Amino acid sequence: MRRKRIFAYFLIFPTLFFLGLFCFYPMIRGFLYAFTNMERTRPLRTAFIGLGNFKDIFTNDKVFYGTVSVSVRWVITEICCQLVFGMCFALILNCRFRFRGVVRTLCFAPWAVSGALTTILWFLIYNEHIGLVNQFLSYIGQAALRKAWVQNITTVFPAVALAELWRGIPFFTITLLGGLQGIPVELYESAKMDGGSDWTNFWAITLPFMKESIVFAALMRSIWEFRSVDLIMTMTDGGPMRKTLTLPIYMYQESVVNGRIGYGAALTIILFVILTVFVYIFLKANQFGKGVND
Amino acid sequence: MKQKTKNNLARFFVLYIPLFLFMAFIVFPLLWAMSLSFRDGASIISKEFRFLPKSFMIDNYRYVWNTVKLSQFFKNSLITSFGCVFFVGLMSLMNGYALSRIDFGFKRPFMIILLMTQMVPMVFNISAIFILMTKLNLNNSLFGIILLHIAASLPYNSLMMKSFISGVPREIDEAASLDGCTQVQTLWHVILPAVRPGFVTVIAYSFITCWNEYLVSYTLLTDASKFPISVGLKYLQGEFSTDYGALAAGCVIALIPPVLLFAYVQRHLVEGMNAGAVKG
Repeated sequence: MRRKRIFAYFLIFPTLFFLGLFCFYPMIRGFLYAFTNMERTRPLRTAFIGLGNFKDIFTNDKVFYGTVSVSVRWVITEICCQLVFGMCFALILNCRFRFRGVVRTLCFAPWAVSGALTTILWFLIYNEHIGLVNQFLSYIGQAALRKAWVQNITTVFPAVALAELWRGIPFFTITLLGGLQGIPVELYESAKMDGGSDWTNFWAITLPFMKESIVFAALMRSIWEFRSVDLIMTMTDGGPMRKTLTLPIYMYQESVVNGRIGYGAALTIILFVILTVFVYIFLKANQFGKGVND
Repeated sequence: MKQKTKNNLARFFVLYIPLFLFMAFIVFPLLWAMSLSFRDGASIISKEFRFLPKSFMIDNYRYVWNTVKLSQFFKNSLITSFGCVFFVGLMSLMNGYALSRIDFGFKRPFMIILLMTQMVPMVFNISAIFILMTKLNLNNSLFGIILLHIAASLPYNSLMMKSFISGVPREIDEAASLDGCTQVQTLWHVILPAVRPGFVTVIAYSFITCWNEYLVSYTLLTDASKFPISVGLKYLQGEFSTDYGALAAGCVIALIPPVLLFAYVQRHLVEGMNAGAVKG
């Protein structure tokens, strides 16, 4: 038993080394800036200001609360749609039908498309002049509905959310499909003999077996959606009228674009705290750690 | 007979119709990009709705591959992605095994460490990483990029591996250890084959994240001959004018390796991998 434990440390050591050097060292360094008034344009006048940045954010910042609400809306929309549709398609793709291999490969293609490419693609689709959506609307005789989808304040959020769904649903599908493959076939066979319908089997066998995969995928995906920047940043840059300005993009604008490094770092700490609280509640609610201690 | 037609009807509504809608949503944008890549500039900006191009011209492809040097970017992406996948596959298997099968004191902290790395956006770390890499003299090198990719994709893949290994019945490795297998042998000869669908998912996943990674490569690499394909493509998007045809062609080329990889991987995701592994 002792040897087994030593073996465990041997197994995780390389990972700890990598993460310490390339994740935690930069992270801690960055966090320390949050307590200074560091700005890129005047690096020499950097001074320690304690919690000044945080006080500013909570009391004087008119943008901050808006970005939090946009972020929350973004995460909820994305996770609910991705989870429901992802589960459906994982179940469908797990069935036998002709050309399943081809269909599976094609369905996962969006997942293989990078953030940069997704952006380019959907930017073209929503383009006011050459975009697919507008050309199609003209084609079916609804030219009056033509819009600059990403510049219009009412359509921008659904438009960007749809683009993210396009890339996110396949991700859920593949993760859940991996989990579905792990369910022993014998269980379904014996359930069939007992006369269970597909619907009851889904609730009695599939879901309990998939629980860990589902919880894990939903958790990770929520974190990623919350901190995701690439798609929104390149499609709208938070605009128009801050309709898509999420917290990480605001952080990026403050620290990288405006050069207020200290302020941006403080925003990151807030983001980090929000995520930590979220993860804690999520794991408690799902008893994720249950398997850890037993 | 009647039962069979009813079943077929149900299958049609439950399986084929959602499948068709889903496919349309997923594939249409891709086909459209492909259609753009075969057109010339005048045809792209013309107002008429046309899905199939009038004539298939491959000038866009020739232009991006040779003139824009996409071939070089392509090679760089292959090097970094394969380098990263090898280590991530191995290390995530090790972590997943430790987390799923061994009780050690550092287990919970280790899980928390893995989760914590996911909570800070990369944009925030990037300046400190830049300074660190300059100190280590790994700036502007593909090796440095590989190291950073490993660190970035390791936590998620380890956790994923853990949940896959947890799905493998414990009886299998107990039986193996009764048969006198050492820990390493159990991991390699028993766990790895049993968890193969999960393992290929991890491999595919880390390959694709590396292939698509943009921010780190963009910040650390200054030498254009070392750019990966994601950064190279971004240079096709001009400030004032964009050659949409060439951009679409580049996107299509960039898509080929991940899609080929997935076509290969999905065959391994065959159902019933665990069937028969544990009897009784």
